[in-house]
Amino acid sequence: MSERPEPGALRRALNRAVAILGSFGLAVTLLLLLLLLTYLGTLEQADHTIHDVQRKYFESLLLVAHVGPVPLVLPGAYLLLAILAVNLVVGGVIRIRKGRSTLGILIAHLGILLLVLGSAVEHRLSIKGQVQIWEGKTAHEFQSSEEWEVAILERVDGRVREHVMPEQRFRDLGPPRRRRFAEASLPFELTLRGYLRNCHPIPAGRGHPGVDGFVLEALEPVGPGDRMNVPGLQAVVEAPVSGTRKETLLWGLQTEPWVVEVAGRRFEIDLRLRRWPLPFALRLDRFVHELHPGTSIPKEYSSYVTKIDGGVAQPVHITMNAPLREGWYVFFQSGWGPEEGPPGRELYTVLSVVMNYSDRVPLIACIVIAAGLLLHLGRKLALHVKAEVQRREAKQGAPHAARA
Amino acid sequence: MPRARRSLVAAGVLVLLGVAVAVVGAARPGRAEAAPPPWPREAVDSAATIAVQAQGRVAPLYTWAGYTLLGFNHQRRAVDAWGRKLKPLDWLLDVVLRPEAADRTACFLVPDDQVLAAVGMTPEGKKRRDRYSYRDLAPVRAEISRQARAHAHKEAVERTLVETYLVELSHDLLLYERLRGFLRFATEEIGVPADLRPALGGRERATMLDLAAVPREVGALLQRGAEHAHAAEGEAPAPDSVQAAESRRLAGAMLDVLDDASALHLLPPLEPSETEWSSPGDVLATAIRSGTPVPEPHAAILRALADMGRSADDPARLAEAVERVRSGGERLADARGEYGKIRLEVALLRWAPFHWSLGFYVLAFLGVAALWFAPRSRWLARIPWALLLVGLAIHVAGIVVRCILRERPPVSTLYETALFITAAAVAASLVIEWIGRQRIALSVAPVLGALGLFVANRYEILKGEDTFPKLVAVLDTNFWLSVHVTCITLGYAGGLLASALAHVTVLGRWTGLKRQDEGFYRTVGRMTYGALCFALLFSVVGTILGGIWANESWGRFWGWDPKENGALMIVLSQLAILHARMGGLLKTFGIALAAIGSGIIVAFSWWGVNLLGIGLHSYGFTTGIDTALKLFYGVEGAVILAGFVWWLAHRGPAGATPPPTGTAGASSAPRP
Repeated sequence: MSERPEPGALRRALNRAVAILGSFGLAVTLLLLLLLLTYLGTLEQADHTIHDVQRKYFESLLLVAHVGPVPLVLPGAYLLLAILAVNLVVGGVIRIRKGRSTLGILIAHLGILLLVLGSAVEHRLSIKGQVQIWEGKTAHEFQSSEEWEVAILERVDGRVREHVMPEQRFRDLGPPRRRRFAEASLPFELTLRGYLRNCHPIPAGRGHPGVDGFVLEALEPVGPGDRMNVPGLQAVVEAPVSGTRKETLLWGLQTEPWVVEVAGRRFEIDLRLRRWPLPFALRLDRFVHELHPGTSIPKEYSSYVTKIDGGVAQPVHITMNAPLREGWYVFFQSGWGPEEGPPGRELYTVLSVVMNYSDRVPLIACIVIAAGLLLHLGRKLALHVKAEVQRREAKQGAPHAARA
Repeated sequence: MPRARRSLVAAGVLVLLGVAVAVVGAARPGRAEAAPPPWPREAVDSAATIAVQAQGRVAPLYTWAGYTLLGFNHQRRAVDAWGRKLKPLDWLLDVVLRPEAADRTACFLVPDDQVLAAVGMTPEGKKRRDRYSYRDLAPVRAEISRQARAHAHKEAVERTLVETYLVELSHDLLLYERLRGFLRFATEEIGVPADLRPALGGRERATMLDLAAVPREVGALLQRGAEHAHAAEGEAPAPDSVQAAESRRLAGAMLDVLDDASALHLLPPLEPSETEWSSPGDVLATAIRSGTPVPEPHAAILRALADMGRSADDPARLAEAVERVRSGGERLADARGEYGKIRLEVALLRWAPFHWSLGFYVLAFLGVAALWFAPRSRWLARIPWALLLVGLAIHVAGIVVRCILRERPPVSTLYETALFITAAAVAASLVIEWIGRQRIALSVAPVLGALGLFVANRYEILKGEDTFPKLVAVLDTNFWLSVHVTCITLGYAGGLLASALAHVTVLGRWTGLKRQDEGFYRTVGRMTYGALCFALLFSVVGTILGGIWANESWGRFWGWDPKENGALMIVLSQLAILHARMGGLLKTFGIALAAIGSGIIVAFSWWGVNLLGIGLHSYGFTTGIDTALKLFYGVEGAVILAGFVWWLAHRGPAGATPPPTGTAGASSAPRP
């Protein structure tokens, strides 16, 4: 049986732990490890997609990197950044000596914490997607480029009722797991199973009867942010009252939704990229794509759109480096098409849409950090100049004194 | 010696000399012929300010000729068959007006003779990397073209170096051939089909310019030929097959001439809404296609070009014709507001301020070296100061003029960052020197200035492209270029300055410089620390501003793109050094070694990530600098290693490293 440490020893151990957590040594070690990770993660982009590298180095707790043939176990950037944040709070905010000489450093550290906080808010709460609008057409919603959902649609009197299950609710349903979804307004229960992150349908073989003669074949996923992944799963509709049971395969690239009729009502069930409503309607009036004369160097990509909000129309110009900001939403010029075709053809624009509560935090953090560093380094420079002047004066005075 | 005998010996010597001259002359064909006279200065001066549109911008012909020759020859001069060094415009006038002479000018650099071996040529008396004339390459011209076509469709990364050189050489030869035929539209006569002769006063031969004077008739003839060709496809009888054949022959000859006449776009559009300038080939083709004569403002310039082509041997007429071309273009361009900066650009390039600055920095270094021998001389100390200030003033003036010309901040291309970082590093050195008056930063400044401008110069030669390029849409923002790129490059300048100062510590310790003067090393250490702080401020702010710009452009703050990672690595290295210093983990010597390491990271971020050929920041990709960069990494790595070895040998209480000065958290173990 181990002996309980005395309170004094516990406090000493705690103090020691806090001292280590807030130490310069830990800070330097973490910074150097981050430096190494960033370097390796940069080099590896020559051979792997940026998303694969990002997942391996910058969104991980631990990783194995290969320096030549030598495997190297390293902490991932998530782990390092988490410890660095603790180190910054403990050493750079709480334990730091407070005074005029450290005020600038303290401000800079607070600015870094603000930046980290902003990144955390963005990471957890932001929504990112895009909207494609043809000239003359109006968009009311935008969609994710990598996140999926299963949507149940019912069209009644020209209106569409939607029931949506975001990907988080079925991402874990790899074979053989299944999950049943039920809602009071629906006359059936929907069971989802056999989720595959990247797959394609193939004719069913022997021993695999499949659904309607097809099965989904798993493919190697190509990274979370890569739009190359097309998921699929099996969906079963069961209506206990009527005893109806229907099943199908849902695949991301299906052109038509699955249509089922239950209790005399018609439902469309679709696996599609996740969608969100826009805070206002956007109509593309004109898209302009210009090259520098006589070259293929892009000069301008511009979307001339009309923002329609509550019946009020407002013309807006969205171009590179000049997004549209409205509330928490930002619309960026992202793409256009079709690139091939005769001059004067109808074009579409692709706008990236980001809903981010911390959109302006990096700018504020940058100002705070710059102010802190300027204060600290400016003070140091002033002291240094003063000392140099005194040194020179002393040096010039010394021969006079000697002569005197 | 009797007089007669002396005369005989003298005569013998003269004969021998004569024979020797004749032999040498015979051995260097071309020199026996009379060299063509140089181009009249008036013509060259007028040609310099002819406005042309190239790479999406309006530039003086002086600039165009300069980077075209630089691209061909990797230097802004070419040696003709008579051993004369031609400047770009003299060379261009040779190519356009005296193609037979120009064909013998060695203006094509072949970086590796394997390129020629690949096309079946075995050059004799040439070095592995050597220059060739068009005439030298003519026997293998077709094979170069054939092989280049085969390699051109490959991705750049899939080509071998020899294949890349081959594609580039073929491209250069093609442009050269179009330039040498540029005035054929006015000087070369082609056979006129019988149907067309009445319209041309019965002439059997006419130039393209003459044919464009009767565009409706030429258009009708070509149309008949085209209709006949369509009829032939449908297997219909061909009653006018002779006429159709003549028409097709005329069309072929015209296309050939018009293609060459498209090498230079020197005709500003007449419609204000149009942005693309035309070449003589374009306007002549438009005239034939539309059946309307060339508009008079353009026709006047074409006539002046024709006069140029006919007066190569008449200096006065040539100068007058060139001036008409220039002034005709100027009138049209000026009306569009596109000629205003042509003269300023020519003045800048002729003035070559960065070459002058380089010279002053080298002289300043010599001045500093002289100070080592007379350290107490006050007036001698003023010389490097003065030279550095003059060099920096010229350097900054050059950057300012470039900013005026481009209407951009001084950091919109990789070339410009080299100029800006060098100026910033020299200026920061002078400020440090002004504060400390230790002659340490004074010694470092000229080295940094000369090295930086040397790198900029080599990069310009290596690229062989216009250094005033148009920017892609995402970079087309003066606000973000001003705040983000300027901050980042100031961070680079600070990092490199810290590294340079750190060399003084490391190399000084190694060589035993000022062995007894610990104060000297403390001062250098303070300077290194100051430069690191300066670098950190701008690196941190610049990196975050870069994220904010990315958020404005692409909708994401950070994407782990190589260039972003490079900036982050600089910040992390500088933060690590400064925190290690604050924690007492590193002292003067260790900080010096780490600052050199941080300098390597700056070089990697500035140049190295561009060599990876990946990422969104693809505006600075460069081939051919990897050897220089690896050499830099190697040398700097060796300096760090040497410093570490020195520290191992000298550490301990009696070593040169001073004890810790009471910094909180300092360990008692020896630190570098």
